[in-house]
Amino acid sequence: MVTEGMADIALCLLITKTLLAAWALLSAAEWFANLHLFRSDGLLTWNILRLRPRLLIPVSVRHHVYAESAVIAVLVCRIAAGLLLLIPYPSPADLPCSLLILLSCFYMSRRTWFGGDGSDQMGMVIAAGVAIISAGLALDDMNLAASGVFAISGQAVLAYFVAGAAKVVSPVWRDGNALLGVMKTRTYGHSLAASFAAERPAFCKFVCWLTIGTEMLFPLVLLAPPGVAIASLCCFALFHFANAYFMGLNAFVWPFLATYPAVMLANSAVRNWMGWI
Amino acid sequence: MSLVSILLYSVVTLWLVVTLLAQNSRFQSVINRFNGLHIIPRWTFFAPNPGVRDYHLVIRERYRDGRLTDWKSVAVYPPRPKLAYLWNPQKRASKILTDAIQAIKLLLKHDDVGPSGLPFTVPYLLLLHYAAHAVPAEPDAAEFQIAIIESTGHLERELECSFLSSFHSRW
Repeated sequence: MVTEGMADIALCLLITKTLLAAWALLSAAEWFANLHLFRSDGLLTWNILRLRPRLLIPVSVRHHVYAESAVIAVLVCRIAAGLLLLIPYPSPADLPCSLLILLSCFYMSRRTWFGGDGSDQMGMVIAAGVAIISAGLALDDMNLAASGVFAISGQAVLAYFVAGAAKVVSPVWRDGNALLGVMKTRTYGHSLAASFAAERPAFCKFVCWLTIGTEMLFPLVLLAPPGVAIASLCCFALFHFANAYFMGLNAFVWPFLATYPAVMLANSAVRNWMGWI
Repeated sequence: MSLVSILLYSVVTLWLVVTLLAQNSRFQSVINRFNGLHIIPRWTFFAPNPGVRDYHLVIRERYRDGRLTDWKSVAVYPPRPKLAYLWNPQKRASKILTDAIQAIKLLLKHDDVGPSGLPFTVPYLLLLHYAAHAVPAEPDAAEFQIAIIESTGHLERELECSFLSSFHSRW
């Protein structure tokens, strides 16, 4: 039973770390394309950002720690860790690599202050979860590994549920205007989708309520029969692909899909605990 | 169950509970004080108020004799690439601009800051510094001013000026 559980967790780790690697490589490559932002005339210049309060690093080394060369070094580490995570079986490198990605997440969020998004947050969650699961597998401690699964699946359930709950209290989401409003922007919108939505208010309302309903009902995936749970997660994956296509949210796909193996393991654990298996 | 497992289960449970609390604005100010590394995520994507405006930064200068130049657009990020669903690095600069502008709007409403204290805040200085370097100074220009323009629409655009800075020395 324990061996079977460890095999399931090992498979979960394999899929999760591969998707974490995809996110780590994509996010690092996109930051590399934005290195100009960190220069003295860039939007994230340290000349100004050093003025913000509550910086954790001592003043004497702060300039070196947050210099453009340090940003490059951190991103190179993230890429190296991402490449090593692509080894197609649980390996001893998984723990240090996921910890390295986790530390790079902390560093980038401190250095940039502005510009982070939900993909960075979920990337951080996945890196933490993969680190815990890897430690559990390395130490042959199933409970330790399962706590990593608990962390990832718990944050995934919270992420979807909170996203839905925050929308249901919003009048612009309930009346469908949020969809048209977002689609009409150049930042997150899509010209064809905007012109399609502009003439179909009922469709906008339907899509907004579909988003609210499915996001809020996400916790039920933990209780559903495995076939239904997998089908539901496939629908959520399509939702992320649609967001990537219409809104340019390309980096959200990988870390959110990376939560699904842990969600399926949590589904199995919950159904087992309820005596449904 | 090993001691390490019990400890980790406790830490993860605490992390999830604090994450849930952090989604409520009542607890955010307290949690933010201890969230320097952004360990506590916020999952309220595009809600309750989704971004329905694009932001643009513009700049104009004042000569020593008091004449003003036309407003010039400050290039912050290029348009979204066609393959943005695969590769979209532009979103970072656009998000930084949006975050800085949202912070300026919040600071303007803040009793401790307001319009008089805003020029001493980091988001304001960040945009001011960026605009001053992104657009070369006109010869003989003494001062400059920035403004935030909000727009909506793809082909037919509606524009609105939502913020106008004071004049600042060019040199």
